[in-house]
Amino acid sequence: MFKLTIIRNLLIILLLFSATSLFAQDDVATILATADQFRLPEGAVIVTTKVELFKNGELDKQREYQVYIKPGHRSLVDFRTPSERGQKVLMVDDKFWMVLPRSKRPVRITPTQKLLGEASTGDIATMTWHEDYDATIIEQDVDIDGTPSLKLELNSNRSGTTYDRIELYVSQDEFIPIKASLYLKSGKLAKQAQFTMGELQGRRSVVSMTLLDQINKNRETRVHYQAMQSKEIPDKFYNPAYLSRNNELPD
Amino acid sequence: MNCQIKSVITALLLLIAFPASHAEVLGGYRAYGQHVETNNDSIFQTPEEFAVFPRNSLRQEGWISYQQSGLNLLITGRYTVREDDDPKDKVILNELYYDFSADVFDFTIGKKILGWGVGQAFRPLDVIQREDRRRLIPTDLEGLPQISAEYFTDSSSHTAIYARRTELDQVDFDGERDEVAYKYYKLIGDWDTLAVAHWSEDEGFAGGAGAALVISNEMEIHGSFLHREQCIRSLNSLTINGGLLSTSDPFIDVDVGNCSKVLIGGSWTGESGIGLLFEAWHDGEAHSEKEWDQQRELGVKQRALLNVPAVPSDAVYLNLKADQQFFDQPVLLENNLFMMLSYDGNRLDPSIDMLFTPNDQGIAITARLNYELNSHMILLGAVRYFTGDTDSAYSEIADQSFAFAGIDLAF
Repeated sequence: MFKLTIIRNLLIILLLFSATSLFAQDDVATILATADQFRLPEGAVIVTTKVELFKNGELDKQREYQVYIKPGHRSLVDFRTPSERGQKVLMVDDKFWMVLPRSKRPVRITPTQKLLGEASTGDIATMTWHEDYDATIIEQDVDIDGTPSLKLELNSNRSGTTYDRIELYVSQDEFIPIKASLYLKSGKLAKQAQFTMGELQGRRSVVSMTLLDQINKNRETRVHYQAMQSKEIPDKFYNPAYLSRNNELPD
Repeated sequence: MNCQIKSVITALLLLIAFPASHAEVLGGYRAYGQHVETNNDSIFQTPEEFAVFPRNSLRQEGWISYQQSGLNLLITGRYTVREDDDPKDKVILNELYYDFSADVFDFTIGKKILGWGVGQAFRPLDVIQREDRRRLIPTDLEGLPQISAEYFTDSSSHTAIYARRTELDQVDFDGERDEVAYKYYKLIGDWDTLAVAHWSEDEGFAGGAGAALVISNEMEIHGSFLHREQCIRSLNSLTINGGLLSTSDPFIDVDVGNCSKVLIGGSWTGESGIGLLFEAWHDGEAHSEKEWDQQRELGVKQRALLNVPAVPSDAVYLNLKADQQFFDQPVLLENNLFMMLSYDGNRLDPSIDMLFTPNDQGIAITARLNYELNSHMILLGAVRYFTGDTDSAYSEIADQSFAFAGIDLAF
């Protein structure tokens, strides 16, 4: 009788344990990929982005970008604000190049140079996590404004990522991104991100991302995704030598 | 009607011919005021009526660019008012070219600005455009008429160019030059690598290579070299034939034989936005220390003639003014060290740089400031000051400092 009780109790403990671990670690990659789907559809995409920069709560600057993203860690950012027209930043794996207005020559830049600017190019050009980060579930059933959420820890699995570590919160039911803490390689908390859902060209998507600067506390960046279009972009557009010919980018 | 205006009219007619459904039209306006301070201690200093640069001037530019279906156009209209001089206006066709693809190749026909080479303040491999990298006042370059064919893979490219420039299609160019060049680019691991070959009738063959590498999150290094068969320097013929005064422009192009250009450099940029750049270079086409000594000695002897009553002072001052052409080139002396400290701010972007010529301890210091008023407008300004050891080339420049302030509007 006593043995049966022990076995029964052990079974109850095992059941409770399996019930609280709703998500196995090998599901995490799928969770992350699903979260990415709300930010960017699969395949090559052209994203029209508007960035608002706030200082002390007031609108300080506005910027416009066209971002050409292709799987395989490739992004080309075309600066569309009048004062920056002609400037481009190309990212391929962990390598970066910049073309300045009036120049036809791509210049190799460092990861730190890519970070500079009010809305760093990395924030605009990198819209997925599953290719660049290894994820672990840290906590479940985290209540964020009434939404049960998962807390994931993302660690960069390659050099060249803008943030070395990310604490990401996604909804527990659909894995919709809710918010994230973004850490630099130095360990410093750089920004906190909040994601807003909406509809973009008939698709349920993240329509904006608010970045609260944790180093310059009076600054806030709002990234609005205005349009997203799946479009095949030739590989040569991601060749730094081709940047001098890139006057006409695909629409 | 001059050739540039004819080209502009041709360009406008082409625009009318091309359907404008997806045309991208941009424009802008720039206005810069410039002030020049003389160096009263310079050997080459002349009275104001002989000055190369007016003390004060105002330059205004309006530009328009048009891009659609491979057709690209950039035109600048410039209006300059100089103290004690008539206003001057000029229309510059900076670019008019057509990009198109056929099979796996990409082609360009027309007048286009080129940017080749590795380096910030100096680019040995910039064999076609030959941009002055240390111009004080920013402006659009004037492109070169060319035909080019290119082949791209995902990590390499081949470029072959034939370019021809004449005084008819270049605003500040005399004579004519035909040239061909080939460029090969390849990303090898983490290295950007570049090889260049060039030929022109007056300079013969030149070949070189360059590379750049990012070595950490904050640092990159780069270097390049070029060797040329025939190097041309602009020298005062009086320093060659032993004369003292000339009644016509004494400067001539001299073939000094083969020469080399070498650059090494690197930069560091911190998360705060502070950046540091360092470059060292040798430019075999710039003046040698000996040539500077000869030019300086000539200037001293010419100035001494002002004390000789039989020699008209105007003749002396005209020769001293002509001597100042010695300084009229992007790189003054062969050996150079360059450092720049900059800050990438929210709206304010300051920088300060120093160019040092170790052979004679000459120094050129430049401080710049850009302030972004809004997404359409930037205020900018800079001051450049020449100094250094007595007898150094930079300390003897007749115009000791240049300052400009201006506004750059884009719409």
